Amino acid sequence: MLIRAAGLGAQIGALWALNQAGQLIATRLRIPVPGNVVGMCLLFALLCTGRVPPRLFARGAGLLARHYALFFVPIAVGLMQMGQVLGAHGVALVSVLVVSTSVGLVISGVTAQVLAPAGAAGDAEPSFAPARSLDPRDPLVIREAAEGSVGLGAL
Amino acid sequence: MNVTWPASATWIAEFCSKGNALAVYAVGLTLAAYGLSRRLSRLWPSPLTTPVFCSTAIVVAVLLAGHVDYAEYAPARKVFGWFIGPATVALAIPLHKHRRLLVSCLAPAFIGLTIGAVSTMGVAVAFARLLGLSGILLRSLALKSVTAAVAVEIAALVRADPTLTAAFVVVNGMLGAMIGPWLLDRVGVHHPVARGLALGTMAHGQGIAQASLESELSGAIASVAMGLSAVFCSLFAPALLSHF
Repeated sequence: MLIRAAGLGAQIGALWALNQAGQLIATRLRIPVPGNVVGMCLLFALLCTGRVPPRLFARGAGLLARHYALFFVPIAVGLMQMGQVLGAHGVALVSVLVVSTSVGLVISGVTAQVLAPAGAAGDAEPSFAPARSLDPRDPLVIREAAEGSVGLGAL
Repeated sequence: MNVTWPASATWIAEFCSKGNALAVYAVGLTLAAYGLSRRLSRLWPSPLTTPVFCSTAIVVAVLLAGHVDYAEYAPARKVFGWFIGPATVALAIPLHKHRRLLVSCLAPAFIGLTIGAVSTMGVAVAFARLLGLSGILLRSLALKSVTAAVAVEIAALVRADPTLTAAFVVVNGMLGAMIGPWLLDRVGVHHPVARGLALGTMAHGQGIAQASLESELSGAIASVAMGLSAVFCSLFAPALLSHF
């Protein structure tokens, strides 16, 4: 169990290192892209070379990606400070946001869906959560079984 | 043992001093609110039970009821904020897995993204004018769909207020994540690429969060869309907003 936790920590640490590299590149080159998106492109490029297998990050990445929403909660709680600013024009501001975002959502979603090639809906099978794979020949399943299981859901 | 015991006791006492106790409280409260809202969203899926909105509402209610200041809750922002970077990098894995699909959808995705980003900014500016909102409010509102870090940079270029812009970005992300899935269902958008694209373009990080809950492919597409629309808006926004 300790080994599992250490492995998880190491995977998240590696993802963090890629994020730092991305931040550095974005600030040094002054490109208007968030550093974490640059870090994501770095990892994507590494995976495309074929030298770095995705399962090296699978558990840490799966855990983080599934709970992405959690990491934004404290930022949204920060809105409780903005009461006065939003209060004066509150109704007008919120209606501008709701209307413009709704229009944008519909336009971009419908455009992309209409233009997307038919049948390219992708497979719904997740690349994360290998423990739920039912194929006993899957090397990940064998490894997870050998290491004993702490469900990711418990974390 | 005799030497280390008092030392570690002091350390524990220091750790449990007010600051750290508040940090533990803030982190625990956030985790509990998130766990509860995940369960609620599974039981009753609706815009009001989307995890970011619902957890935020619970945390704010508890803080207000306990007369706790946001400044005292702020450690949670540091703790959870740390994970946003690695979590975004992690989205490269589903993206890599679905790379063939991504390539086949490249043109539709790019067209959807640019039209969506232009139209949402145009509608925001036009509607704000209609409601009689002033210059600086209007220009700050126009940047609402850009991810916070980039929106604040653009704000400086277009004479918008960085603080207001950041606030609009957060409110918009929450609204987009709440309305998005419901609205896309209503207009019949079911393609995971199209849903991820719309959420990432309109609601940045919180859109990615919502899209990741739907499917990992949508989450990955949303993160690419957020990055691309940030680049696109930083080129396009100054041209449009210099007229207001």
